[in-house]
Amino acid sequence: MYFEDINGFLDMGGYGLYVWLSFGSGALSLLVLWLDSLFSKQRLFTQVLSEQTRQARIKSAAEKSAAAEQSAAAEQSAAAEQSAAAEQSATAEQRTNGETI
Amino acid sequence: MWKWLHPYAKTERTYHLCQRLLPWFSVLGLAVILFATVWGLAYAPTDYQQSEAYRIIYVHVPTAVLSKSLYSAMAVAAFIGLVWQVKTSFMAMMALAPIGATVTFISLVTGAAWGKPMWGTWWEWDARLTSQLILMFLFLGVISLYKAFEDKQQAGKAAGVMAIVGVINLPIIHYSVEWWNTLHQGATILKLGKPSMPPEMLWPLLLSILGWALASGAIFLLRMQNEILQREIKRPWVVALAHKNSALSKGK
Amino acid sequence: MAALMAILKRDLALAYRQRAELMQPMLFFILVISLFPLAVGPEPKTLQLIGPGVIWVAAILSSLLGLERLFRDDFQDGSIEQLMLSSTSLPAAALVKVVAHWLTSILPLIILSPLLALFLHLSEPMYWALLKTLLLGTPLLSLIGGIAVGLTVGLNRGGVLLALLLLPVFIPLLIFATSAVESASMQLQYSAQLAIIGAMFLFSLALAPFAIAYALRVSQT
Repeated sequence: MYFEDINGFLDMGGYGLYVWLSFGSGALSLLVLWLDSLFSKQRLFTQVLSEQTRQARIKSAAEKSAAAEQSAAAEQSAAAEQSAAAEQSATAEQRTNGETI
Repeated sequence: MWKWLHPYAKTERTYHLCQRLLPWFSVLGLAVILFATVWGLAYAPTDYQQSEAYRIIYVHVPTAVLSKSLYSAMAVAAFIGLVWQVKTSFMAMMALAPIGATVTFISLVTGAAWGKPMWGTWWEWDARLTSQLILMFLFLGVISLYKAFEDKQQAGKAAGVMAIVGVINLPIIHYSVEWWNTLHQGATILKLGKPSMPPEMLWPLLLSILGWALASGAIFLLRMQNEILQREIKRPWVVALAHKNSALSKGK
Repeated sequence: MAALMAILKRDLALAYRQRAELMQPMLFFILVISLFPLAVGPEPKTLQLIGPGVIWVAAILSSLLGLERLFRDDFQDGSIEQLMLSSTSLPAAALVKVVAHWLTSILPLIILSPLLALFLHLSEPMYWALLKTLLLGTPLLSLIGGIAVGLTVGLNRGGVLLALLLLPVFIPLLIFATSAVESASMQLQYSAQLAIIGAMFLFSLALAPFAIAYALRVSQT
């Protein structure tokens, strides 16, 4: 060890401010860069997953509306059949009524 | 001769290569920087002219050396991307740029911190600091240009051209600034020039350079992966990776 | 009032999303100032002599670069038209947009100014004078600049025209600001210069919003 004690080490022959400012800013900048790179990676993965859930949501919504359309169409044709049947029985009743009178 | 490089034009292959190399570069980089820095700060002998302030050399010189080599690497990546139309090369170029800008910044700050006790002022327009400042502008210019484009294909080509223009200009800038400096040589003669170093001072310096290079390599691998993920975000293999990553973190 | 706050928040949010574009005038500022030591030599006395003038000219040129985005995007997508048709007072909205622009484009330059004063070896009293002139005078750049931007926003090649229109108008500001810093360098009082800059600022604060609103209406037709 070149320095006698820890105080000498920190003081750096009177130049402590400049030496530690240099190494401090170097370490800090490197750390910030490294952390930014790490967090970007995490953010990208999160982005991928949320995009996936969004796509799944859109898909299921599209399927639901398609299914709803189909059942609505099915209902409509069933209702049309029913009303047609109702009309037929109504006219049949009229005829029988007419006949009895 | 370069056939072995061809598979790495595929982003998935390159991503996994980066993943395999990452632990080695990060651990080694951190270890070597710490070892060399402690050696230089605490165990290397003192300088009779500059006393302990000279120890700033152990962070100033590695970052200055790296700033120039990273710019050259960026330009090489640009060249490969432009000539052979390799997308991954442009990604490498943009992964390098912020690292280059950061180490240039560190070299400027440490240069100023070294200048204050030696010249009496935080900033001096000497040849080396001025060249580093211009290098900083070149890095920031390439990054700004890339970010200005929506279409990243176009962005890569444009930034690539600028990187190459910059690298050709680098020696010209360097020599013209040195010539300018001799013309305007002030009363202060700077002692930041390459001192003839005894081996006890030189070894920690060389190791520092290696350590910083490895650490920059590690961050490059990380950022390269990020560039790949960003561009390939809709691909199935990326989606699978994202799921695996979230499963891992949930498992923790 | 709520509408005006909404406009302010929107402009600030949009500016944050275009961070990369905002960096460009800042880089230009540092670059232009760095050119001067390379051009006239690094002798501290020379740099101190030209320093305040160089920083102010660079600030004016950098603000000109950033001024174009004040109304450009909103004009192109029809937001300005919407603003004109809404019940919000157009001069008030214009003033709010100018404030947002000053905060995002010019305040960063002022924050960088200590570094650049260091580059040009300005003394401490000089720097404080410079800071005061920047704080008092740069809002003028945004306010009067806003008028010219309102007039040229519909044009295709407005860039250099903007500079031609504004530079003559900025000359008084330049003269008084650099005179203030020069007085500071000689340890003299500079409150008179600051007072005149302050008067110009208040005058334009009162009238420019109306001129900007009129200019926008002219461009919109």
